Amino acid sequence: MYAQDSTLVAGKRNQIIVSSGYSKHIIRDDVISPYIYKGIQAPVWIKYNHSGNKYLHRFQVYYSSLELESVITNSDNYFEHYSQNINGLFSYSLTRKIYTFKKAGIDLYIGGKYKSFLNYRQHYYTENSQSTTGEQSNSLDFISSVYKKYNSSGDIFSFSLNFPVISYVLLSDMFNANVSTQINEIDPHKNLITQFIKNGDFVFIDKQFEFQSELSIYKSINQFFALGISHNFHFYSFEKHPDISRTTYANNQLIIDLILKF
Amino acid sequence: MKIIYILLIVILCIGCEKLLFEEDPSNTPTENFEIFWNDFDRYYAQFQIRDIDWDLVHSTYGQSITASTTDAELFTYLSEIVGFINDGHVNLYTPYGTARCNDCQNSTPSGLLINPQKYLVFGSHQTYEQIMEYRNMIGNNIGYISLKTFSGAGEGIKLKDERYLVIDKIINEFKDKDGIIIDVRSNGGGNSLNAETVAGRFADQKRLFHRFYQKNGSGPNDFSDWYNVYIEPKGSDQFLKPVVVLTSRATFSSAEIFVMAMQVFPHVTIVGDTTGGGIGNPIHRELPNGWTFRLSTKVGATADGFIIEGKGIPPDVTVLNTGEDAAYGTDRMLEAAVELIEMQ
Repeated sequence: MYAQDSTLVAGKRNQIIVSSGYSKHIIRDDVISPYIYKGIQAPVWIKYNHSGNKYLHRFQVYYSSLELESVITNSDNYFEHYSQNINGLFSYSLTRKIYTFKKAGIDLYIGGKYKSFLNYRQHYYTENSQSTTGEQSNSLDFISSVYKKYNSSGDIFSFSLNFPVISYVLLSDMFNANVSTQINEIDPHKNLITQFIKNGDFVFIDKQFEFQSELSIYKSINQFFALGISHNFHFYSFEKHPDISRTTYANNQLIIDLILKF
Repeated sequence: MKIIYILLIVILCIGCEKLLFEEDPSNTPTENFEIFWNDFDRYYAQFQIRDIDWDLVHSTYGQSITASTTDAELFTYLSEIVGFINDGHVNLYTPYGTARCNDCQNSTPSGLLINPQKYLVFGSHQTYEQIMEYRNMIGNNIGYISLKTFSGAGEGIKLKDERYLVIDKIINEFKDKDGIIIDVRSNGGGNSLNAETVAGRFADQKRLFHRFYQKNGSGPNDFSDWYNVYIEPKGSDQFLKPVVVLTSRATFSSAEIFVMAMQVFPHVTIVGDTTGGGIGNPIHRELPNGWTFRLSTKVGATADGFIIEGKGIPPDVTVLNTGEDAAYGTDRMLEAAVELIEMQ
């Protein structure tokens, strides 16, 4: 039973994973520019997985900071046209095995995921001219995963996909040009963080289309360590006001995972 | 074989970027003009109150701008449009220069402190990082504060610039004065939160001082409801004796937020000229050729709903400096402010 659980890397219940590699960020923020801004950077992921008999718990923390550029960046000495971009993400997911495709040896898990991310951008037009914008979203996602052991050593292949059912979005307007009905309740002379938390907007799929996918393959090196390679993709398109303030974002990652199992 | 499948999936995912994003606009004179026109069409909030037929602008200039239009010609055309809109928050920034509104080009003697040595005691007080200075006045017990700008933002998530908290020190030093003159005649604005930081030191109680509405959609009539903005006492002490605020046509943007806030206090009198008339809340935009422009997304009004965009805030007492005043070293506006305080 224990060794047959497909979420376990070589039969160990706990995994701490540190990851980094290639990460490409692409964003088009209508309020800032008609241009796509892009950047490449090495992200840092820290993950913890715990496998129960039927349940799988996963914690993930992610951070990156980079500069985004477009085709008009440094097009003239007078202009700069770039964005300083900070990305952070925390998530916890709880999934339960609901079905096993016996012939293929694949286990299907479904469950829920709490995800909180920040995409903060300081955009520079010229040295003295800049705008701040961004999204901060806290969402409850539906998550579906498949796991398969691909050899007798217990090494696994996995794929998961999640998308938000409901999100609570902070900073949705405060840093943009166009206000929601709630800006009047934010007093910049008082504690902003408390107010941002109080003044978020509940957003459904009609305003925020988002999904995350993760494709991983892990191979054990010895009793305690394994190596993996993962492809992560995060996409969202978030409309704040019709036709004038849509943010479309994609993050494409190919990362190496170092796994400590115990 | 399985590895090949996985790699194929990864390549497909990388390729899907192109499916999820539209291509960037091309850099041609006509595309630059279309983006310029369309961005105004979607975001600019003041066509109606400025009585501008934006479609007519497109039909007029759209015929003149062709694929063979040079950058210099394009700058000339777009500058004409910027001048015609006549909004101080509408600018075009290019290597050929900055295009401004037609009424933003001229300065008058009413926008300046004339002959300061005649009125102010130098050497006793200071200038704070070029944002404000304060001085005793000669021959009376009145304090003088010049607010030169409201520009500056805090670091990180702090939106307001804490340098403006120096106003607490000034209020403390001036607490025994008979009154204070605050000069914002040459203040072109900045960050409205800094304006509120200073104005709060003169607030007697929480009062409504400003209303605005804002574009919230791409249609010509897509506007938010009116928002009310309040000012309330800030800092440990407030100065509640007579105050005169000196204004001019150069008093603009966040400096007008300051004037609106001060205007609702019963111990404050606004003296000078009508202000510049623009709250705007401008956003910046980019063109394919790398130029940048900004435009107003907001319509601002006083507490009683008087829209100040393109009009300005009328003073309680109108006093102007003339060219003759400047030639003779007389600041008629400052002298009127002193008289008003001494009469109270």
